[in-house]
Amino acid sequence: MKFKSIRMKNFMRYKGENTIEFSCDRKKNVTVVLGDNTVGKTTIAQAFRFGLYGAISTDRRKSEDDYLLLNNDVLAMMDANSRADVLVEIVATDEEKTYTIMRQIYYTRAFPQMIAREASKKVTLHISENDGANADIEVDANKVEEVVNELFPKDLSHYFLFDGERWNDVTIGGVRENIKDSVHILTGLSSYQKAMWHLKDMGSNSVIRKFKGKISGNGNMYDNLEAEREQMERSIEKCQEDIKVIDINLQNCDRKIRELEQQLEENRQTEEMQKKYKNLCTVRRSQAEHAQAEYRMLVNDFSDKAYMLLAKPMIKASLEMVKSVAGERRDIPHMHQDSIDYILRTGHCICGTKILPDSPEFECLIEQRNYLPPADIGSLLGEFERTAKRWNNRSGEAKSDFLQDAEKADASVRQYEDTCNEIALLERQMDERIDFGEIRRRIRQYRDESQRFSNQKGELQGRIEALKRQIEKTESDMRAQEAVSEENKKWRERVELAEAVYERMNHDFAEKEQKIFAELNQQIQSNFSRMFNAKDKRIELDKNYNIQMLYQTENGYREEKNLSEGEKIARNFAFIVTIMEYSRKRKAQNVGKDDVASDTLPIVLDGPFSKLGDENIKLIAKVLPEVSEQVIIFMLRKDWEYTGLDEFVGAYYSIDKDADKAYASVRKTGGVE
Amino acid sequence: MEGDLAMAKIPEDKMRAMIFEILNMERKNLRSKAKTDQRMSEEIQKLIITYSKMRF
Repeated sequence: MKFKSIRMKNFMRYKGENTIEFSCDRKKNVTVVLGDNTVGKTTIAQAFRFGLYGAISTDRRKSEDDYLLLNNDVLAMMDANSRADVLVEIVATDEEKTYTIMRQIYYTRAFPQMIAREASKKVTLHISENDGANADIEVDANKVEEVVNELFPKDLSHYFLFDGERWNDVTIGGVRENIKDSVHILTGLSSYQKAMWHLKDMGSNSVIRKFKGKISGNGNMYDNLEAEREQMERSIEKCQEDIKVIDINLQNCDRKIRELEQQLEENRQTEEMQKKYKNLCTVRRSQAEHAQAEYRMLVNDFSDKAYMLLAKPMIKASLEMVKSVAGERRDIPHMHQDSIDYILRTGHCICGTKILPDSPEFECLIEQRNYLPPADIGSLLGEFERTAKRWNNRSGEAKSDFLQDAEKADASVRQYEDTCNEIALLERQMDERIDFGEIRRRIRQYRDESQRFSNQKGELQGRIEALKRQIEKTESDMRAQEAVSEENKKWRERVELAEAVYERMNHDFAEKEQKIFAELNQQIQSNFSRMFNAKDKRIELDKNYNIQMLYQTENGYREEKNLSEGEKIARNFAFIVTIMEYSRKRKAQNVGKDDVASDTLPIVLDGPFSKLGDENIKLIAKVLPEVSEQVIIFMLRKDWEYTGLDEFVGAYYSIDKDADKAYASVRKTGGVE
Repeated sequence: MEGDLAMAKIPEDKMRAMIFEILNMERKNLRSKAKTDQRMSEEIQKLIITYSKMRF
């Protein structure tokens, strides 16, 4: 399959009509469209997507409604009564037929605002035979998407309509491609599946069922068995309908899970920041408590000892003064004249001796009284000296203790402030609104639902198998009741022939599927090594054709899921090159053989090499014209020379855009006429 | 193809030719959707009846 041309009218950046005719030459199979940055290269890639599938590729943060398909300049010229259309027409061809897909949308303007409103739209697909043997046909409008999908499988579009800026993504619009079915389409296996559906699997209208319905039997017994069979067949059809609904639900769950996982993947950094933020908040709390405790300790210590330290010079001077003025003195510790007066008043000494006036004991006390404060300060000075000594002892280490305490308090406050700054920085950087716990909860919920649906599906499949066995038994009973007639014999032969064809197709399908899978797996590894010169890595397809990258470890090769952007690009490039090469080889091998034909795809690359190094650009670029029937590249003028593809180019185009104009145009600049 | 068949055993080349015809019909229809499932079933019925009429 090759693209012959694309015609765009008023499509996004392109005003009026612009047509590109692609090179369909066998050897010079490359068409290159060169342009500077932001002139409209990606718009042409978008035109392919719109033309084929009716939708453009959107940025993850935007929806399709954020994009205006109608050229802005055209919209500006419209008034409230005028209409303008956007049109994309793609012409594609294979050996037998030419397919013309046309999509057109009419717009009105919500004047005076610059808002375009969709008034009507249509899609058509015309198929003409290249040899003109039969008349052209127009595909039913409701069937256009199905046919386009058969010609250009949408699930592979991410690969053959390749956007170099985004092709490390594994999803298109959040939906992971069903690559397996697409590979079946390309390799012709979808025809087997459809044939088996018509022969037997579609139920009451299937070939085998219709043939069986022609066989007649003898008497009521046969009629009852036939009714029983019909009822069981209806039950199977009902189960199949239920499975279809379950499959849709399963796909939805799967899509949701992938969307949420993608959200986790894309916001992994935010999640890590949120975790760090949470930890830092806890750390900040404990640091605040610690700093307060350190500060309290400093204050307590200061309150306890500072006065002693501060009084030190004064005490020293006071002691010297005391020594100079009251060097010799009587010092009765802790006694006061009031103590003697108390004893005299009570008339008893504390030892129990009676103190009578004028007694020697009385006289002795009166004498001692003269040496006590306030009459004599000798005792007080003694007290003072003792206290001064105690203070000196206690305040000896006070200064260094205060400094140590203050340093500790300062350090803990600094730690606290550092954490506060880190938290403030995180608050500016991260999106704290994303609730990762909620996302994970929803993933679990969808997984549970998915499991529930899978169980239901399993039960229904089991029921279908049981009903099929029951039908076989009933049919065996019916066969015994069949009327012996030439007519019945004839229909019985047909049933058996149809069943033989079905069995054979089933067997061939399984065999071919296995062979294709094995060959593709072998080839993808070889292409990966050829293009990326990777020694310690391998890539492999799993049963559902998901591409895995394996790393060599001590225990053999292990799958690595956290791939760098470069690795994702390498993986996807190897995959599409393999699919292209394989389908092209199969097509060449099957020519003239009685096997169903394989299809090939052209490859349309938008800025394919923007994220690759010069060495890889050359390695990959030279592979493309070999493996694909047709290569269409949109790229920066300045990067073209690194590709070394000139010898394969059949048509050169250039995108022109005047600086003062809002629209671009495409012009042919060289190549095969 | 094995077992107690009422019909004569179909030669391998005829079987392959019949499958090839069916697959091509299917491929053609997958790429045009000109015929409904029911119609395709009828087309295959006709083809099988034609082959079954051949005396092998």
